[in-house]
Amino acid sequence: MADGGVSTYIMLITALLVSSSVSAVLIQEWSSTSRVIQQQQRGIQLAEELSIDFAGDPMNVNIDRSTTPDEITFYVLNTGEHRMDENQMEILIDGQVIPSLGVSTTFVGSPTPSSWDSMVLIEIVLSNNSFDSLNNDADVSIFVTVNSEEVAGVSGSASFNSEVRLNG
Amino acid sequence: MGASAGIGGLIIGIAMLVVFTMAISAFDAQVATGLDAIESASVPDPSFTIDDVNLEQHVIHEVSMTAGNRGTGYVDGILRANVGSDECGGFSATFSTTGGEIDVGNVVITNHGFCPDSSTPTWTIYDSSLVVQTPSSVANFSAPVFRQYIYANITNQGEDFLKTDDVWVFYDGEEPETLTDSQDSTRSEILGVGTNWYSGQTIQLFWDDESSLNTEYERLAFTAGPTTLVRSTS
Repeated sequence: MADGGVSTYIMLITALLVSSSVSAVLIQEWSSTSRVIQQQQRGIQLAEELSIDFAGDPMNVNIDRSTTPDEITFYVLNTGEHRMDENQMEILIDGQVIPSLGVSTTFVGSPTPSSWDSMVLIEIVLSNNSFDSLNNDADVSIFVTVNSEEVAGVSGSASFNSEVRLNG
Repeated sequence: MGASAGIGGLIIGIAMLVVFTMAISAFDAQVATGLDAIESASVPDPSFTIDDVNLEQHVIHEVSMTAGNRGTGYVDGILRANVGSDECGGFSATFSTTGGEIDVGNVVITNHGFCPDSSTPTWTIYDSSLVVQTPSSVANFSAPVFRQYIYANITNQGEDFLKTDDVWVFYDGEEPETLTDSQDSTRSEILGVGTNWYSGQTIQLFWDDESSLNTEYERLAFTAGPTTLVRSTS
Protein backbone atom coordinates (compact mmCIF):
# COMPACT_ATOMS: atom_id res chain seq x y z
CA MET A 1 0.00 0.00 0.00
CA ALA A 2 2.88 2.28 0.96
CA ASP A 3 4.66 1.35 -2.32
CA GLY A 4 1.49 2.09 -4.23
CA GLY A 5 1.27 5.48 -2.52
CA VAL A 6 4.85 6.43 -3.42
CA SER A 7 4.50 5.39 -7.03
CA THR A 8 1.26 7.31 -7.25
CA TYR A 9 3.08 10.39 -5.87
CA ILE A 10 5.87 9.92 -8.38
CA MET A 11 3.40 9.58 -11.22
CA LEU A 12 1.46 12.60 -10.02
CA ILE A 13 4.57 14.77 -9.69
CA THR A 14 5.81 13.56 -13.07
CA ALA A 15 2.43 14.38 -14.57
CA LEU A 16 2.54 17.82 -12.97
CA LEU A 17 6.05 18.44 -14.21
CA VAL A 18 5.21 17.32 -17.72
CA SER A 19 1.98 19.28 -17.87
CA SER A 20 3.68 22.38 -16.45
CA SER A 21 6.50 22.22 -18.94
CA VAL A 22 4.07 21.56 -21.79
CA SER A 23 1.99 24.52 -20.61
CA ALA A 24 5.11 26.67 -20.46
CA VAL A 25 6.10 25.65 -23.97
CA LEU A 26 2.54 26.20 -25.20
CA ILE A 27 2.34 29.61 -23.59
CA GLN A 28 5.68 30.60 -25.08
CA GLU A 29 4.73 29.35 -28.52
CA TRP A 30 1.34 31.00 -28.36
CA SER A 31 2.93 34.26 -27.29
CA SER A 32 5.37 34.28 -30.16
CA THR A 33 2.66 33.17 -32.60
CA SER A 34 0.28 35.88 -31.49
CA ARG A 35 3.15 38.39 -31.62
CA VAL A 36 3.88 37.41 -35.20
CA ILE A 37 0.19 37.53 -36.09
CA GLN A 38 -0.14 40.96 -34.50
CA GLN A 39 2.93 42.14 -36.37
CA GLN A 40 1.46 40.88 -39.62
CA GLN A 41 -1.88 42.46 -38.81
CA ARG A 42 -0.13 45.75 -38.11
CA GLY A 43 1.69 45.44 -41.43
CA ILE A 44 -1.55 44.71 -43.28
CA GLN A 45 -3.31 47.55 -41.52
CA LEU A 46 -0.43 49.92 -42.25
CA ALA A 47 -0.49 48.92 -45.90
CA GLU A 48 -4.17 49.87 -45.96
CA GLU A 49 -3.35 53.23 -44.46
CA LEU A 50 -0.56 54.13 -46.88
CA SER A 51 -1.39 55.71 -50.18
CA ILE A 52 0.05 58.14 -52.70
CA ASP A 53 -1.54 59.42 -55.88
CA PHE A 54 -0.73 61.47 -58.92
CA ALA A 55 -2.03 65.02 -58.49
CA GLY A 56 -2.70 67.62 -61.14
CA ASP A 57 -3.58 67.48 -64.78
CA PRO A 58 -2.59 64.15 -66.35
CA MET A 59 -2.84 65.76 -69.79
CA ASN A 60 -0.44 68.54 -68.85
CA VAL A 61 2.75 67.12 -67.40
CA ASN A 62 5.46 69.63 -68.04
CA ILE A 63 8.62 68.66 -69.89
CA ASP A 64 11.20 71.40 -69.85
CA ARG A 65 13.28 71.53 -73.03
CA SER A 66 15.42 74.42 -71.85
CA THR A 67 17.50 72.24 -69.55
CA THR A 68 20.15 69.64 -70.36
CA PRO A 69 18.98 66.95 -70.15
CA ASP A 70 15.24 67.62 -70.42
CA GLU A 71 13.27 67.66 -67.18
CA ILE A 72 9.85 66.25 -66.42
CA THR A 73 7.89 67.79 -63.53
CA PHE A 74 4.87 66.25 -61.87
CA TYR A 75 3.15 66.23 -58.48
CA VAL A 76 2.36 63.49 -55.99
CA LEU A 77 -0.04 63.78 -53.08
CA ASN A 78 0.24 61.72 -49.90
CA THR A 79 -3.33 60.44 -49.68
CA GLY A 80 -2.61 58.03 -46.84
CA GLU A 81 -2.67 58.55 -43.12
CA HIS A 82 1.03 58.30 -42.35
CA ARG A 83 4.21 60.17 -43.13
CA MET A 84 6.08 58.99 -46.20
CA ASP A 85 9.83 59.18 -46.76
CA GLU A 86 10.51 61.19 -49.91
CA ASN A 87 14.12 60.03 -49.80
CA GLN A 88 13.13 56.41 -50.23
CA MET A 89 11.45 56.60 -53.57
CA GLU A 90 11.76 54.74 -56.85
CA ILE A 91 10.42 56.20 -60.07
CA LEU A 92 9.99 54.52 -63.42
CA ILE A 93 9.14 56.33 -66.63
CA ASP A 94 7.89 53.95 -69.29
CA GLY A 95 9.38 51.14 -67.24
CA GLN A 96 12.82 52.68 -67.02
CA VAL A 97 14.18 53.36 -63.55
CA ILE A 98 15.24 56.96 -63.04
CA PRO A 99 18.44 57.00 -60.95
CA SER A 100 18.09 58.87 -57.69
CA LEU A 101 20.66 61.44 -58.87
CA GLY A 102 18.12 62.55 -61.46
CA VAL A 103 15.28 62.94 -58.96
CA SER A 104 14.65 66.06 -56.92
CA THR A 105 11.70 66.68 -54.66
CA THR A 106 10.22 69.87 -53.24
CA PHE A 107 7.35 70.29 -50.83
CA VAL A 108 4.55 72.50 -52.10
CA GLY A 109 2.36 74.79 -50.03
CA SER A 110 2.40 77.80 -47.83
CA PRO A 111 3.88 77.56 -45.28
CA THR A 112 6.18 75.03 -46.90
CA PRO A 113 5.89 71.66 -45.16
CA SER A 114 9.05 70.05 -43.88
CA SER A 115 7.90 66.44 -44.05
CA TRP A 116 5.68 64.42 -46.33
CA ASP A 117 2.66 64.07 -44.10
CA SER A 118 -0.86 63.18 -45.08
CA MET A 119 -2.34 65.53 -47.72
CA VAL A 120 1.03 67.16 -48.35
CA LEU A 121 1.86 67.70 -52.01
CA ILE A 122 5.31 67.13 -53.36
CA GLU A 123 6.81 68.33 -56.62
CA ILE A 124 9.06 65.84 -58.35
CA VAL A 125 11.50 66.93 -61.04
CA LEU A 126 13.11 64.18 -63.06
CA SER A 127 16.19 64.69 -65.16
CA ASN A 128 17.34 62.03 -67.57
CA ASN A 129 18.95 61.86 -71.02
CA SER A 130 16.23 59.50 -72.21
CA PHE A 131 13.69 62.34 -72.00
CA ASP A 132 15.38 64.17 -74.86
CA SER A 133 13.91 61.74 -77.35
CA LEU A 134 10.34 62.09 -76.06
CA ASN A 135 7.89 64.09 -78.17
CA ASN A 136 6.26 67.18 -76.70
CA ASP A 137 2.89 65.47 -76.51
CA ALA A 138 4.10 61.95 -75.80
CA ASP A 139 2.03 59.69 -73.55
CA VAL A 140 4.24 58.17 -70.87
CA SER A 141 3.67 55.86 -67.95
CA ILE A 142 4.74 57.07 -64.52
CA PHE A 143 5.26 54.57 -61.74
CA VAL A 144 6.22 55.79 -58.29
CA THR A 145 6.77 53.74 -55.17
CA VAL A 146 7.67 55.25 -51.80
CA ASN A 147 8.46 53.82 -48.41
CA SER A 148 6.72 55.13 -45.35
CA GLU A 149 8.45 56.25 -42.22
CA GLU A 150 8.25 53.73 -39.37
CA VAL A 151 4.93 53.51 -37.55
CA ALA A 152 5.15 51.54 -34.29
CA GLY A 153 8.24 49.77 -35.59
CA VAL A 154 6.66 48.85 -38.90
CA SER A 155 7.06 50.53 -42.25
CA GLY A 156 5.37 49.87 -45.56
CA SER A 157 5.24 51.24 -49.05
CA ALA A 158 2.72 52.79 -51.37
CA SER A 159 2.76 53.22 -55.11
CA PHE A 160 0.77 54.42 -58.09
CA ASN A 161 0.92 54.02 -61.80
CA SER A 162 -0.44 56.71 -64.06
CA GLU A 163 -0.54 57.31 -67.79
CA VAL A 164 0.07 60.97 -68.54
CA ARG A 165 0.64 63.25 -71.52
CA LEU A 166 3.65 65.49 -71.67
CA ASN A 167 3.28 69.15 -72.48
CA GLY A 168 6.46 70.53 -73.96
CA MET B 1 -2.91 12.11 -1.66
CA GLY B 2 -6.22 13.79 -2.27
CA ALA B 3 -4.72 17.18 -1.47
CA SER B 4 -1.84 16.61 -3.85
CA ALA B 5 -4.19 15.69 -6.64
CA GLY B 6 -6.17 18.84 -5.89
CA ILE B 7 -3.07 21.01 -5.98
CA GLY B 8 -2.03 19.35 -9.22
CA GLY B 9 -5.41 20.02 -10.71
CA LEU B 10 -5.23 23.61 -9.51
CA ILE B 11 -1.87 24.11 -11.17
CA ILE B 12 -3.09 22.59 -14.41
CA GLY B 13 -6.24 24.68 -14.19
CA ILE B 14 -4.28 27.87 -13.63
CA ALA B 15 -1.98 27.01 -16.53
CA MET B 16 -4.98 26.46 -18.77
CA LEU B 17 -6.48 29.75 -17.61
CA VAL B 18 -3.26 31.54 -18.48
CA VAL B 19 -3.25 29.94 -21.93
CA PHE B 20 -6.91 30.82 -22.40
CA THR B 21 -6.31 34.42 -21.30
CA MET B 22 -3.48 34.79 -23.76
CA ALA B 23 -5.55 33.30 -26.53
CA ILE B 24 -8.38 35.69 -25.75
CA SER B 25 -6.07 38.70 -25.63
CA ALA B 26 -4.49 37.75 -28.96
CA PHE B 27 -7.96 37.25 -30.44
CA ASP B 28 -9.04 40.65 -29.11
CA ALA B 29 -5.99 42.30 -30.61
CA GLN B 30 -6.68 40.72 -33.98
CA VAL B 31 -10.31 41.78 -33.90
CA ALA B 32 -9.28 45.32 -32.95
CA THR B 33 -6.75 45.62 -35.77
CA GLY B 34 -9.24 44.03 -38.16
CA LEU B 35 -11.88 46.58 -37.19
CA ASP B 36 -9.37 49.40 -37.61
CA ALA B 37 -8.54 48.13 -41.06
CA ILE B 38 -12.23 47.90 -41.97
CA GLU B 39 -12.81 51.39 -40.59
CA SER B 40 -9.95 52.92 -42.54
CA ALA B 41 -11.01 51.09 -45.69
CA SER B 42 -14.58 52.34 -45.41
CA VAL B 43 -13.70 56.04 -45.79
CA PRO B 44 -15.11 56.98 -49.20
CA ASP B 45 -12.97 58.83 -51.73
CA PRO B 46 -13.81 62.50 -52.23
CA SER B 47 -16.34 63.10 -54.96
CA PHE B 48 -16.99 66.48 -56.51
CA THR B 49 -17.90 68.10 -59.79
CA ILE B 50 -16.56 71.13 -61.62
CA ASP B 51 -19.80 72.70 -62.76
CA ASP B 52 -18.18 75.32 -64.96
CA VAL B 53 -14.95 77.22 -65.51
CA ASN B 54 -15.02 80.49 -67.41
CA LEU B 55 -11.88 82.40 -68.15
CA GLU B 56 -11.80 85.93 -69.46
CA GLN B 57 -8.55 87.63 -70.30
CA HIS B 58 -8.02 91.37 -70.72
CA VAL B 59 -10.81 92.17 -68.31
CA ILE B 60 -10.99 95.85 -67.40
CA HIS B 61 -10.27 95.59 -63.72
CA GLU B 62 -9.85 99.27 -62.92
CA VAL B 63 -10.21 102.63 -64.67
CA SER B 64 -8.55 105.84 -63.67
CA MET B 65 -7.72 109.31 -64.89
CA THR B 66 -5.20 111.86 -63.86
CA ALA B 67 -5.98 115.30 -62.50
CA GLY B 68 -6.56 117.76 -65.26
CA ASN B 69 -8.12 115.12 -67.50
CA ARG B 70 -11.52 115.07 -65.86
CA GLY B 71 -13.10 117.27 -68.48
CA THR B 72 -15.78 119.86 -67.95
CA GLY B 73 -19.43 120.12 -68.81
CA TYR B 74 -20.29 116.55 -67.94
CA VAL B 75 -23.32 115.21 -66.11
CA ASP B 76 -23.58 111.92 -64.21
CA GLY B 77 -23.56 109.08 -66.70
CA ILE B 78 -22.20 105.83 -68.05
CA LEU B 79 -18.77 104.87 -69.41
CA ARG B 80 -18.40 102.29 -72.15
CA ALA B 81 -15.33 100.91 -73.93
CA ASN B 82 -14.63 99.46 -77.32
CA VAL B 83 -11.70 98.28 -79.39
CA GLY B 84 -12.70 98.80 -82.99
CA SER B 85 -16.09 97.17 -83.37
CA ASP B 86 -15.54 95.02 -80.27
CA GLU B 87 -17.48 96.38 -77.31
CA CYS B 88 -15.15 94.83 -74.72
CA GLY B 89 -17.66 92.24 -73.60
CA GLY B 90 -20.22 94.82 -72.55
CA PHE B 91 -17.95 96.77 -70.24
CA SER B 92 -19.94 99.41 -68.39
CA ALA B 93 -19.31 101.77 -65.51
CA THR B 94 -21.28 104.52 -63.90
CA PHE B 95 -19.79 107.77 -62.72
CA SER B 96 -20.83 110.95 -61.01
CA THR B 97 -19.63 114.46 -61.60
CA THR B 98 -18.67 117.37 -59.43
CA GLY B 99 -19.07 120.79 -61.02
CA GLY B 100 -19.15 119.22 -64.46
CA GLU B 101 -15.90 117.28 -63.88
CA ILE B 102 -15.94 113.50 -63.77
CA ASP B 103 -15.36 112.36 -60.20
CA VAL B 104 -12.92 109.49 -60.74
CA GLY B 105 -13.38 108.35 -57.14
CA ASN B 106 -16.97 107.55 -57.99
CA VAL B 107 -16.49 105.47 -61.10
CA VAL B 108 -18.19 102.17 -60.35
CA ILE B 109 -17.66 99.33 -62.79
CA THR B 110 -20.94 97.46 -63.16
CA ASN B 111 -19.71 95.06 -65.85
CA HIS B 112 -15.97 94.41 -66.13
CA GLY B 113 -16.34 92.96 -69.62
CA PHE B 114 -13.25 91.81 -71.49
CA CYS B 115 -11.39 93.34 -74.37
CA PRO B 116 -9.88 91.45 -77.31
CA ASP B 117 -6.38 92.51 -76.27
CA SER B 118 -4.57 94.72 -73.80
CA SER B 119 -4.54 97.86 -75.94
CA THR B 120 -6.21 100.90 -74.43
CA PRO B 121 -9.84 100.93 -75.56
CA THR B 122 -11.72 103.89 -76.90
CA TRP B 123 -13.87 105.37 -74.15
CA THR B 124 -17.36 106.64 -74.85
CA ILE B 125 -19.08 108.75 -72.25
CA TYR B 126 -22.87 108.67 -72.19
CA ASP B 127 -25.43 110.37 -70.03
CA SER B 128 -27.82 108.22 -68.03
CA SER B 129 -30.12 107.93 -71.10
CA LEU B 130 -27.24 106.49 -73.14
CA VAL B 131 -26.88 109.64 -75.24
CA VAL B 132 -23.26 110.54 -75.97
CA GLN B 133 -22.33 113.59 -73.96
CA THR B 134 -21.00 116.76 -75.55
CA PRO B 135 -18.75 118.33 -72.93
CA SER B 136 -17.06 121.67 -73.11
CA SER B 137 -13.73 119.99 -72.41
CA VAL B 138 -13.22 116.26 -73.12
CA ALA B 139 -12.19 113.96 -70.29
CA ASN B 140 -9.39 111.43 -70.89
CA PHE B 141 -9.35 108.17 -69.04
CA SER B 142 -5.95 106.54 -68.54
CA ALA B 143 -5.08 103.08 -69.82
CA PRO B 144 -7.12 100.65 -67.74
CA VAL B 145 -5.72 97.93 -65.50
CA PHE B 146 -6.33 94.66 -67.29
CA ARG B 147 -6.63 91.37 -65.44
CA GLN B 148 -7.44 87.76 -66.15
CA TYR B 149 -10.68 86.72 -64.47
CA ILE B 150 -11.55 83.09 -63.85
CA TYR B 151 -14.96 82.07 -62.57
CA ALA B 152 -15.71 78.51 -61.48
CA ASN B 153 -18.36 76.63 -59.56
CA ILE B 154 -17.52 73.35 -57.88
CA THR B 155 -19.89 71.07 -55.95
CA ASN B 156 -19.05 68.49 -53.31
CA GLN B 157 -20.96 65.38 -54.39
CA GLY B 158 -19.46 63.12 -51.73
CA GLU B 159 -20.80 62.03 -48.38
CA ASP B 160 -18.18 63.80 -46.31
CA PHE B 161 -17.07 67.39 -46.12
CA LEU B 162 -13.72 68.37 -47.57
CA LYS B 163 -11.34 70.98 -46.25
CA THR B 164 -10.46 73.68 -48.77
CA ASP B 165 -6.90 73.45 -47.42
CA ASP B 166 -6.76 69.86 -48.69
CA VAL B 167 -7.99 70.58 -52.21
CA TRP B 168 -5.30 71.50 -54.73
CA VAL B 169 -5.76 73.58 -57.86
CA PHE B 170 -3.48 73.28 -60.89
CA TYR B 171 -3.35 75.70 -63.80
CA ASP B 172 -2.47 73.85 -67.01
CA GLY B 173 -0.96 71.21 -64.73
CA GLU B 174 1.38 73.63 -62.97
CA GLU B 175 1.58 76.20 -60.18
CA PRO B 176 -0.34 74.12 -57.62
CA GLU B 177 -1.89 75.89 -54.68
CA THR B 178 -4.55 74.96 -52.20
CA LEU B 179 -8.08 76.09 -52.91
CA THR B 180 -7.83 78.37 -49.90
CA ASP B 181 -4.62 80.04 -51.03
CA SER B 182 -5.86 80.37 -54.61
CA GLN B 183 -8.69 82.69 -53.60
CA ASP B 184 -7.64 86.19 -52.67
CA SER B 185 -10.41 88.34 -54.10
CA THR B 186 -13.30 89.70 -52.11
CA ARG B 187 -15.49 88.41 -54.90
CA SER B 188 -14.60 84.83 -54.01
CA GLU B 189 -16.71 82.87 -51.59
CA ILE B 190 -13.60 81.64 -49.80
CA LEU B 191 -11.37 84.72 -49.75
CA GLY B 192 -8.22 82.96 -48.62
CA VAL B 193 -9.73 81.51 -45.47
CA GLY B 194 -9.73 77.75 -44.99
CA THR B 195 -13.22 76.41 -44.62
CA ASN B 196 -15.20 73.22 -44.77
CA TRP B 197 -16.74 72.29 -48.10
CA TYR B 198 -19.84 70.37 -47.12
CA SER B 199 -21.63 67.63 -48.97
CA GLY B 200 -23.90 69.13 -51.60
CA GLN B 201 -22.38 72.60 -51.23
CA THR B 202 -21.47 74.56 -54.35
CA ILE B 203 -18.57 76.97 -53.95
CA GLN B 204 -18.26 79.95 -56.25
CA LEU B 205 -14.62 80.58 -57.06
CA PHE B 206 -13.11 83.69 -58.53
CA TRP B 207 -9.58 84.60 -59.56
CA ASP B 208 -8.34 87.96 -60.77
CA ASP B 209 -4.76 87.59 -61.89
CA GLU B 210 -2.32 90.06 -63.31
CA SER B 211 -2.80 89.23 -66.97
CA SER B 212 0.72 90.39 -67.78
CA LEU B 213 2.09 87.69 -65.46
CA ASN B 214 -0.21 84.87 -66.46
CA THR B 215 -0.75 83.08 -69.70
CA GLU B 216 -4.28 82.28 -70.70
CA TYR B 217 -4.95 79.01 -68.95
CA GLU B 218 -6.65 76.27 -70.92
CA ARG B 219 -7.36 73.71 -68.21
CA LEU B 220 -7.95 73.80 -64.48
CA ALA B 221 -7.39 70.66 -62.42
CA PHE B 222 -8.67 70.05 -58.91
CA THR B 223 -7.18 67.28 -56.76
CA ALA B 224 -8.74 66.15 -53.48
CA GLY B 225 -7.13 63.02 -52.07
CA PRO B 226 -7.06 60.38 -54.78
CA THR B 227 -9.72 62.20 -56.82
CA THR B 228 -8.61 64.50 -59.62
CA LEU B 229 -10.95 66.33 -61.98
CA VAL B 230 -9.92 68.52 -64.88
CA ARG B 231 -12.01 70.95 -66.88
CA SER B 232 -11.20 73.05 -69.91
CA THR B 233 -11.81 76.74 -69.56
CA SER B 234 -14.38 78.36 -71.80
